[in-house]
Amino acid sequence: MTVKETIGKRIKEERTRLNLSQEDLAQKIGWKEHVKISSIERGERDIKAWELSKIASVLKIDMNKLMGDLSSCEASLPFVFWRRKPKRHEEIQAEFLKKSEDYSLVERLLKVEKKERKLPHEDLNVNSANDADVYRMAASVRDQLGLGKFPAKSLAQILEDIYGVKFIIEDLDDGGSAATSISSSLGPCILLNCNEVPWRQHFSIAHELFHLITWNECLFQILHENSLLHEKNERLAESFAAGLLLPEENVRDEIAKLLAGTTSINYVEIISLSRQFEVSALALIYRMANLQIISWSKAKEINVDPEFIRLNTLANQSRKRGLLLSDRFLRLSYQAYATGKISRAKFAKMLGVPLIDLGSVLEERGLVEDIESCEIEISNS
Amino acid sequence: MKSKLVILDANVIIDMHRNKIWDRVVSLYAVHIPSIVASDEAVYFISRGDNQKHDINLGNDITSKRVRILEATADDIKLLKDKVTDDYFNSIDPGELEAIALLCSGAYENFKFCTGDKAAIKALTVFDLTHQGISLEKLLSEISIKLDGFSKNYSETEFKKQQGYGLQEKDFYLQ
Repeated sequence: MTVKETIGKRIKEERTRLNLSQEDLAQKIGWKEHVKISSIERGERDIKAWELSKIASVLKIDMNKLMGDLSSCEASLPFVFWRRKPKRHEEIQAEFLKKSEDYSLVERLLKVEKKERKLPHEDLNVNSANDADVYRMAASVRDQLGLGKFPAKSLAQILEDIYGVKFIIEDLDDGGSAATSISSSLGPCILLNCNEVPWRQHFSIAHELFHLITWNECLFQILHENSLLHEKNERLAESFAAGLLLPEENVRDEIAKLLAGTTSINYVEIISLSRQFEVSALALIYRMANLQIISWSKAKEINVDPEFIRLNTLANQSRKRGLLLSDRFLRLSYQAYATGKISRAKFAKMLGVPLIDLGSVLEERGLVEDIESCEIEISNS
Repeated sequence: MKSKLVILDANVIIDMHRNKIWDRVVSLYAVHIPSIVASDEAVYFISRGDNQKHDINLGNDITSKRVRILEATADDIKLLKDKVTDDYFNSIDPGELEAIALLCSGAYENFKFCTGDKAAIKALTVFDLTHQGISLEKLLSEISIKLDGFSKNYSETEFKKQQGYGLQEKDFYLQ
């Protein structure tokens, strides 16, 4: 097969995977007619490097994968488990996997990929499992990960730095929520919505951690076909997240401190306590109901109380935005760039910023570009 | 007749515009730009004076033949890809890969590729093209322009240093 024939086949394969027509692809590239795409896919047209680069960019794939062996590329595509698929999930999924590949590339170039510990694994029977099972699982995972009394404060960092979980943060604008993937090529990856507020992101991370820990591709196929079981699995993941981020003992301790001899606490105290745990006030209220500190009817009543909504909204306005970019990825990719392991334009693309804005984006994060290569000799002792 | 045939990378083009030396450089050198850099990368610059984004209008320069665009083919890129590991190939941006693919094709032996990008300088060494690389400091000194206002990455010293690293790392990247 000639180079142009291989490329043509690969482009067709990737275009189909993204559910794009030849017209869609031509339009995204900025070509008026799709005839060019048709002739490229048939292997009839000589392709220029810039055309290949543009097509690869639209298909969210590295150029080399359009020139590579078809079967190996197909075989290496990892499975992605979606909580709820957004409208344009094919493109978002391709972007998620592309960014996860970039992340893995940086790890390999810096030789850090094999140093992380393995996440715990739990076999879960979704049919028979109940909330009590996942609360026990959450407590065990919290201990194994060493998350402490306020797990949300350290969860993301521990998962990234110690367990090598890759966080990819995307604009899932139409309400789609997080997704998870785990594979031998990319390791554990979590897709988060950048539009989520921090405490919702914490919950999403804990929720997706449940899927990573109970990862079972055969189960996911069953869940795909059985919506009731899928819903149950999602409810278990939510319970796991609540159990993980709001440990029973700590919640009871903190409530006892607030009560201090009295029999009631007010909305401001609840909202303040939710900040301490870095979860939403509502998540805390539901957890209190779950722990029978308050009744479920009271929890539901608070949820719709205009005064609670007003206070909570005001408090939320002062909270920071959620993660927009993984700290670890920024750190590693900057290290790769600063040591000449990736080029500047590649680095800018990995961060999703235009080339001319790279300097200012790095400066905002205290990272400098104007670097002389100075090395420090480290003694073996 | 312009003295030297040069290929510029995107960062160099952007910074030449930012430092207002573009017109002088294109009047004294035969400037060539890889097609990927021209179409996707050297698009804007932020001026020193007002700190605002401005268009880099390469279209006018191309029409008036002040600069020329060089196009590599997918076959040129494939030849490059087959020489190195996938990870190494993926670590370099397509614009720079195109410049290197052009030089590797042997059709541009008299051209010098000017870049301040550490990875691209190392790549020149990895692909045995050290003699076809030139630092911005050296390029500008030949037309009596000093490097003031440019990043340290463009210095001749840094260029040589990266070439040295390229030599050390070369064997890890070759297939």
